[in-house]
Amino acid sequence: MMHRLDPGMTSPLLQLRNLRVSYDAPLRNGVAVGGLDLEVERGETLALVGESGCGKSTTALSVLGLLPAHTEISGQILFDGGDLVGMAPERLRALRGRQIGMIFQEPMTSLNPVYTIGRQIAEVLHEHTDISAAAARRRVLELLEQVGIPDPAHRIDAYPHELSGGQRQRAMIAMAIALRPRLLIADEPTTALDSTTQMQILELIDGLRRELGMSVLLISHDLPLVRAWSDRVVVMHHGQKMETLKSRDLFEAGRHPYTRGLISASIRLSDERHYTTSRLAEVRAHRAANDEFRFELHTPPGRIAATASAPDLPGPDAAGPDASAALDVRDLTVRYPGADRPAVDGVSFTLARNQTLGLVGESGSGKSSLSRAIMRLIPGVTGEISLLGKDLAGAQGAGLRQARRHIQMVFQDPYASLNPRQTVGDILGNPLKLHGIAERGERVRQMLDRVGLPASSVDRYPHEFSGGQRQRIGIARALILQPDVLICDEPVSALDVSIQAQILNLLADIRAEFGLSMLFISHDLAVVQYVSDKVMVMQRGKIVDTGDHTTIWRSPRHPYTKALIAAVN
Amino acid sequence: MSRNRRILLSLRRNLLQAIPTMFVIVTLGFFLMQLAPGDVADYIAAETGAASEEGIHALRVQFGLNLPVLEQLFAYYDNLAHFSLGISPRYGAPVSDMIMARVPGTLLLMGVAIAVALLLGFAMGTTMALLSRRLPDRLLSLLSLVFYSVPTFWIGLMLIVLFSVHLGLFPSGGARTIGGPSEGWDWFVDRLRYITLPALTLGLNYVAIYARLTRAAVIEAQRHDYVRTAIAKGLTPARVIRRHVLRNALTPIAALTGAKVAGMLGGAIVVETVFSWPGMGRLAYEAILAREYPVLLGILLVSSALVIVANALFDILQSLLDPRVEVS
Repeated sequence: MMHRLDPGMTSPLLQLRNLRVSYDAPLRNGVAVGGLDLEVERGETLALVGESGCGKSTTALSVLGLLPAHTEISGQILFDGGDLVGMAPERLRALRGRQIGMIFQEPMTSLNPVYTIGRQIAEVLHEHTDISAAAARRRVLELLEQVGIPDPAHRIDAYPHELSGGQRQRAMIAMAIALRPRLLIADEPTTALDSTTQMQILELIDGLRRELGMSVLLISHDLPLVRAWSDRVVVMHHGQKMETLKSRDLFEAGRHPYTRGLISASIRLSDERHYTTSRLAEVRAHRAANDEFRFELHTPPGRIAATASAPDLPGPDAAGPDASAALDVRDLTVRYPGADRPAVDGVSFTLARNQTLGLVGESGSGKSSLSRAIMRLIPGVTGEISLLGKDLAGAQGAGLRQARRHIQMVFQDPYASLNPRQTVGDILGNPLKLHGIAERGERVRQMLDRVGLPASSVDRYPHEFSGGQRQRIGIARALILQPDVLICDEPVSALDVSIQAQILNLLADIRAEFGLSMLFISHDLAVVQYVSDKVMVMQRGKIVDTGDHTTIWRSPRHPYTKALIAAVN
Repeated sequence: MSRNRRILLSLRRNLLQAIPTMFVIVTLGFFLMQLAPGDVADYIAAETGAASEEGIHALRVQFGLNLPVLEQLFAYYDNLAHFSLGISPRYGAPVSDMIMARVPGTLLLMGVAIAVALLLGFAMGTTMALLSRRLPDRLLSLLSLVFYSVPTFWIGLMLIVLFSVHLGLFPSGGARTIGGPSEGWDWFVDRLRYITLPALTLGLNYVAIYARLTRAAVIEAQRHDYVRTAIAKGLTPARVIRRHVLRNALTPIAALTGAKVAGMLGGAIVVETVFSWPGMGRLAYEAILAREYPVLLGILLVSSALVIVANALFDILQSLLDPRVEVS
């Protein structure tokens, strides 16, 4: 138990004063946090928001002294009056897990795979108290009950991999609150979870905060989320505080240009924005000569905004393959060996030419299996697929290669989907070579220019680019063969919100320019609402709801669609 | 499906797979031995010093060596089908008895060698990982490189020169003092003195392998998010290392140990020869010299069975260490 310098309950529970953290490691060096001041009041939830690399996670880790080796830290971290910077290791250890609990982004990797969750939760009790094994087990059961894990008596002996993502995060929370800490640090606690689970976890954290009288330091990149679940928000960029706002009026009162940029780049379902009416604002940061950052906010003009009125072609109810459609799928079923139910279960839909068809669903709903089946990338597929009136499901050899020229894909992970040993020139040029297309250099340059990359990119390797730039390379690679149909599988979910806006604007532009028909897959309802003309909702391998981009949100028919909407509003 | 049931299923599957595997091993081994010149009759004749052509022929007829090769093979299969490994031509004793008398020696040597290798390797690897890039790490790295690159027989000879010849601490060969203590603590110490050098010789090479592997596994395990979670829980550094780093590093080490059993059995032959250790290796060496095919085939069969059993056991150990690994 630490000595309390300030027995009164008036001062903030946690105070950062001029916190500076810099890394000096081979993989990361430079200043991560540059003189940060903030306070977390007793009983409040303070959110720290910003994009990747802004120093928010570094700040969270520095509170508990969890920074990796080769890190320099200065300034003060006052917890209940005592300075955690430079505190003796034993005293800091007594605070960890007891006074300050922490939960992390990825519950799967944050739990040790070789121990049961019951044992891992009990470990924190045994470390800090002289509790007997039987009493610890009783307390763990209580905690599992408290965090809403169903059937605790059974789940207490489950290993992490036997639980769902949401349950794992609940187990993490149980571990963090086991000793009723006064501060809970939640570092992106729901980023790895589905939106319906996300809401439940945040509700749980908020409920526990009130129940246990904790303060919460919530780290997130998601503006709509922190607006709903925190009291105050600190916006960070390049390791510095941009401004502090009351969460309630985050979207209205933000005055800093960077905050304004983030706000206008974030799309919320309730904003009902659509690519036909507005492009998303893009915020760009420039480091001036004096090392100060300047932020520039601009909304690009939409190039063509008249495609929404394209005649609505017959929907999936019409009988027989539709030759005028870009893509027509009938009774598509994907079955993985050993699975107890098909990943995709008799899905039929039609993608009309020059349209964007949005597909939403949570993880495991089968949306990625569906896209891979259409691309003919996986075995075990039955059903009909017709691309521009020609059979794709049965195409083989040269016929399949020829067909692939007309249908291309943009993948979720721009890091993993580009060959690290090929230059951008090769990545873009090889498909052309494969299809015997001449003037490759010229076409590669044009395509790079079109997706907003410099011509010098040709000789560089994917790792030399940022995440957003890599996704541009992925888009250029998909477009270089001038396909008719583009399948985008979660193309922006790995990207920061300001980069997401840029990529969505780019996709909207090129869709019109290249006359593409697009199948756009995402778990993010607001993104799908923005880019799609028609929307399908997928659950457990089946399409459960279909509608155009306005009616599906305003009057959802299926209960699952309603649940999805309720989770984000 | 419960874990026990999965383990039983895995054992059954391993057993079923072992039968064709061992059949192939025996057949291949049989033909390979036919390639070597000479047979046991020649050897016995040479041993006695004076044997007539007729005498040698009579021996061949007695051992069935005059029959066509395929007939000899089928005769051997016939023996196996009756759970017999045949009779040793030289000793006239059942091969199975001869091998069974030697199996415990080899198993003991291997077991102690594995234990030595694991303990030393784990300790060295952990030290190296926790002091990574510092002086102890570099010195131990160098030492393990030496263990790894020097041939086993040479290490054995050097240990004999140092500890037996110069220091006189350990005997240079054999398994026990003839006429020495046969029970109690004295017996144990006696056996221990005899096994120390051979086990160390056989194990040192693997010490190096385990040390490198442990170092990599511990460094890897330290980077895991769950180690950060353990620190955030307020565990002491020693507990973090023991419960969350070393415990998780055991999985890859167990996998490698299982994969190395076969190689160690091969190494045991050399070590047993150097230290005149009464094990299967020495028996095999003598059987090759004497061209005693039934003995050699028997050893081949028993060794492959040992390796198969060891692999099955390590499969199960693997699934016990890591609940994510399904015993398939």
